[in-house]
Amino acid sequence: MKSALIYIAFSLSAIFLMAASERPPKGSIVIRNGNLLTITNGLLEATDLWIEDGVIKKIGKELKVPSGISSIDATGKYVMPGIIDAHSHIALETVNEASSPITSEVWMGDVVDPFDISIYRALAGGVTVSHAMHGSANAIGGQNITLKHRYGNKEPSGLFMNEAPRTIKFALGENPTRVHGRGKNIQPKSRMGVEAVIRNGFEEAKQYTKRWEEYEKNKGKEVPPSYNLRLETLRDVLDGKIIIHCHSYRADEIYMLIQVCKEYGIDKIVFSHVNEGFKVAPELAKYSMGASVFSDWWAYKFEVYYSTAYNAAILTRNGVLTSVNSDSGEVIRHLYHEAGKSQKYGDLSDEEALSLITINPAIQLGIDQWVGSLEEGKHGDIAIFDRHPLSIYAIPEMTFIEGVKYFDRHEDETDQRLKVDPREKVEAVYLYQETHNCMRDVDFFFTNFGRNLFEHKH
Amino acid sequence: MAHDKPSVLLFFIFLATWGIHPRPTMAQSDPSGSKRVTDVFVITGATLIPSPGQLLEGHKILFEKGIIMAIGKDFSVPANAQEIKADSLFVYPGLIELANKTGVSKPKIPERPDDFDPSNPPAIFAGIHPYENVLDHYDPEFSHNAEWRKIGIVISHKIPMGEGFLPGQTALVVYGNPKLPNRVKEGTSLYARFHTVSGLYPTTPLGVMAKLRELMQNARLLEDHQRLFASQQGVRIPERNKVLEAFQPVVKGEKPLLFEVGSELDILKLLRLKEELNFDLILTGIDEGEALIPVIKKAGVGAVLTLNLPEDPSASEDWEESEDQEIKKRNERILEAYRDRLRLAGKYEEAGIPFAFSTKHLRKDSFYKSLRLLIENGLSQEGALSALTIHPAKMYGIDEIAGDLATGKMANMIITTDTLFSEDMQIKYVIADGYVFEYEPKEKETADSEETWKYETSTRAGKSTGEIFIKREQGKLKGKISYDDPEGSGKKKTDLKDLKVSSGHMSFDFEVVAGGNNLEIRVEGTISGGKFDGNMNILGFSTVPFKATKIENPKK
Repeated sequence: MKSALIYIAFSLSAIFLMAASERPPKGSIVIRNGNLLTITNGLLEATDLWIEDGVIKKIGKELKVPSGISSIDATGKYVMPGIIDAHSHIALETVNEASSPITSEVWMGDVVDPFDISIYRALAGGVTVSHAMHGSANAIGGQNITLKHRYGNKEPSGLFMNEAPRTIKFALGENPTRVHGRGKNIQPKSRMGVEAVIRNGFEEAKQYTKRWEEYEKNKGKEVPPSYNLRLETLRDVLDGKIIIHCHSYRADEIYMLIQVCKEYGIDKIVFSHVNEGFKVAPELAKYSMGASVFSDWWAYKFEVYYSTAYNAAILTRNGVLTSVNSDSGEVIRHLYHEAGKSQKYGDLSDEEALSLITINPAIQLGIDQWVGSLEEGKHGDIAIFDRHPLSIYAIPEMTFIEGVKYFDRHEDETDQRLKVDPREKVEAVYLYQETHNCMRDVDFFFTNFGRNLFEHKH
Repeated sequence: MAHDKPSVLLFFIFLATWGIHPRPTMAQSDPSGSKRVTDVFVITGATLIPSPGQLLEGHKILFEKGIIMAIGKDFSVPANAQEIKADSLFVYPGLIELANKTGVSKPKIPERPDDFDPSNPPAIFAGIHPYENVLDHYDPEFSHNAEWRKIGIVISHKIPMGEGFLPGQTALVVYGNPKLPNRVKEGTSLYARFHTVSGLYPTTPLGVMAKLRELMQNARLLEDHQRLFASQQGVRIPERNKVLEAFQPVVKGEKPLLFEVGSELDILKLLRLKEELNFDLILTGIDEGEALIPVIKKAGVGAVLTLNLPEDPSASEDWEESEDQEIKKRNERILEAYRDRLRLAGKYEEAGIPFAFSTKHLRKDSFYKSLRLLIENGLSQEGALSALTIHPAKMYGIDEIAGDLATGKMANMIITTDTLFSEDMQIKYVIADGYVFEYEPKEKETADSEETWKYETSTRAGKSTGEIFIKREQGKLKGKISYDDPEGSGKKKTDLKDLKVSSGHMSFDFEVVAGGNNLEIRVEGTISGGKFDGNMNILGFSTVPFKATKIENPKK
């Protein structure tokens, strides 16, 4: 019996640590004379940045580096930390396990698709890290995975950012009520139901924890309780081991979840989308790890009508840690434009605007000690632009992760696909895509309605 | 009157039922294996390939009651042994296919209750019934089994059917006499896949992975409970849980999980799961992922490659050549991806992984075509044969009784007209569990052609001449014959029936109306160097010699 328990304990951590055994590729390089947008230390003009073995070793003028380290002349160019997308669904084979209102047992690491061309497209927009999330079909969705865009690595685990803490998707409002309430006639059918589902989940997790604790106390005499990965995960949420990223739109439901979290002692929560966040900005600032918003995207369904392009600025001014995310395989290619739009509408400083897509999402993902700014000791994740990235004319030229170049606008081949299906047809390329969104894989639950309720994507 | 004679009637019946057989048979053939006069057989004169890479000339094989009794040059053959003369033929071990569902039906799933909750369905509705034994849902007499046997499959690994991801347990059966016991080994593995019951939990690979983790942990915990119950007082009775009990041999490493994969990402998912939960794993349906070969080898995972290969993309209707450089490059990548698929089996062989083949989703007529394609792309003939014999036998622990030809093993073999993977190879006999199935080699389809023969024969009415016209169109033979009209002067023409022409043989039937009666006439004989030498049998009357010569340039 003891062995079985040790086994469970081992395998639980093993699920999430498995990838650690493989060391991701790391490079050494010196980027000379660029304008460094450090995020945490202002703009350093005409400065060198030296990455050694994947880590930023030194930032300064005319750095002396050992011979053999290749260098890039970035004179006149802008060097910024790799962009981080706190809400994304690229590089995933499946997005929603939409069959149950709570699916905390599922893990996006199981379905990472390293062949997805969207990873390369994101790199071409300077994005080095994305938060590959479960969809928003369920009140409590699956556990997410934070990815480094090491495109070319054909093993899913090769993309995992092993340093990143665990996160989980929650979703409020229309999506879970529509999928489960209207789609299957089960709870939740309303916003009240969503709250009840979450509370029930937490209560069951508490009872589950108690059962196992009692069993542990009387080891060898008691019959083992049954193992429930769903409740195991919720127990870890209650224990603060997992950061919640919650899909939400309306102020009332955001405030509701803040209350629930306070009640259960949970302080690790980030709200995603948060279109009405500006109405509860002080509460968000006080009780949450902030908000991850769209710059100016709304009205794709009823609960998203009350919105403003000033959201990011209002939240920022009220002290809410704010990021701008893509939730899209297309928007992820120009998150620097999205940051620029938030700046244009709300008059943010360059540093505040760039923080929306660098250090702020890094904090929300719990990875800011490694990425999100140009600082000595952090990962050498770098995007080089020909102009200031908040200029509408800026073009990303190169993208590095841990000192290894994964994108080069001038040198890369036209066809960057890693894998080709022998059954595929060569067809014209369309410059849109629609598969990477919050409500992927839930179509089944709506066939009865005879119409597509899911023209919106989030 | 001729048509009143029983023999003529029988002949009509024979003609009428002829078309039912998928392949015409000769009178001495026994494709059903049912006309058995003895259960002792000796094969003589053949070239023996007892196991991949071995070759024996001048050896005999004696088998009795389904077991090989002797292989050698000098042993005395029992008097009751029926001889199978196999001069110029080849004897191979009977082939073993894995992951096949021919003859298998789904277990009955009960009606869903009114208060059915799709987010928490009882296991049976979610397609979780790993306790089902495929043999309880297998019909050995299902006609397609005989079709697979005809191409040389002797042992088939049956996978259970179901709606969901854990349909049940697999078994090995032999395609011998379907009315006799045919179970070689049952409960060989627990079959799983990512396919689920639409709309019910779990639906996606996300849910399947989580559910598998949970099932295996709970199977272990149930084991702990059972142990505690058996060893201590005051322990409540362990629950009876068929699903978890089915998983117990898996978590104890006593039974492998046979998992259907659809992509290299599926393979990686399962390798991760195996590393987490430590169980024996066999992957079936592998069709891509050369890069994973070392990982699979290191993990000691069983590999079953699919023979269901993609079509040559350049042979597809949609394929378009283009002068556009970008399209050209993209086309080349598709072709390269196709070639990678064809090279995969060879790469597995090169890496020394003892893989087997699956016939799931494969059309019977593609079986040898697929194998030849793989051989053209790097797989050795020995490698292909191993994947169809000794490797699957070892994978499922039946190598003591099957997989090669040796004394004491099951009498499972195929006798072919040529080496197994050659284009012209045809199967003459399949011996399964000692039952001998004989097949008449099919004539090779040849190109469209027309030929004319001039014949001469003499009946009591005197000498008769005429012409035979034979047309071959899309592999189908049609013919006419001209003859002296017995009811008047001049020539009449009629269609030939049951025309068969091979390099050394020709036969056909036709009807002639004489004196108000239909005369059935059958002609049969041998062809050699443009000459036909045979007999004409006017059914019920007489048999007379019939000779014909091929006309090189017939006048139209």
